[in-house]
Amino acid sequence: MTSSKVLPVSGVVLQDCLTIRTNSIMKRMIVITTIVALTGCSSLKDLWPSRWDPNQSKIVTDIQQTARNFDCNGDVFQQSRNLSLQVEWLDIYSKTKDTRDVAKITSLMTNTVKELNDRSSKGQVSVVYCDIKKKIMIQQANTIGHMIQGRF
Amino acid sequence: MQQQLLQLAGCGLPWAEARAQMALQIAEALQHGQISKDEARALLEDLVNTDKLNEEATNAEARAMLVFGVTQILQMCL
Repeated sequence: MTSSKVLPVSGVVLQDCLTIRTNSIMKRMIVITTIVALTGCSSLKDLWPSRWDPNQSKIVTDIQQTARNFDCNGDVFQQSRNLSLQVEWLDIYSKTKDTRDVAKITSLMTNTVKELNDRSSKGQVSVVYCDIKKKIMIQQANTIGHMIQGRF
Repeated sequence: MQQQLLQLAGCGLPWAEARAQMALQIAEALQHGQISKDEARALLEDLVNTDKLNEEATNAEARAMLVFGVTQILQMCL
């Protein structure tokens, strides 16, 4: 007797709960759809990490190796040009493939290498400057390397 | 200013120590006339860029781990 009275009440409560929940999900979906529609997925793409890529892994290892073997007593211009071209390759590839997270950090190293390339093209650079620059380039290349290789 | 860098150079945080030591090295080279003012400015700008690069890379690595973890849990729910 008691249960027959409780059941319809519970049914109504359950239905109300489901309606409220469905409305809540619908509202969230509308908000997400609106954001995606307005921003053209750009905000989601910025948040979503890019996947592991064999070409990026290869070129970043080349960049690390070139930076480590940079000889400040040798032809600085030629070496900086080679390094600059490798970093440019990674930058173009990342932008074309639209892996924004990689493109963003690569552009920072582009500035570092380009500065050395421009300076050495104008004439002699001091050995101490080149040594410190080499350390910075190695650090930057290693950081980019860890980021690129650490993806899933 | 150099006092702060000296403190940072022995603070125990590897990344901060490395940056501080490099900044001190640049200052010392400038004082001894081993590098020009323009070279020193360029190197210090590179140091700032290196910090930005580190921050971006750390964020990207954390995001990748988070998405991987969430994806794994989602697969368990399906």
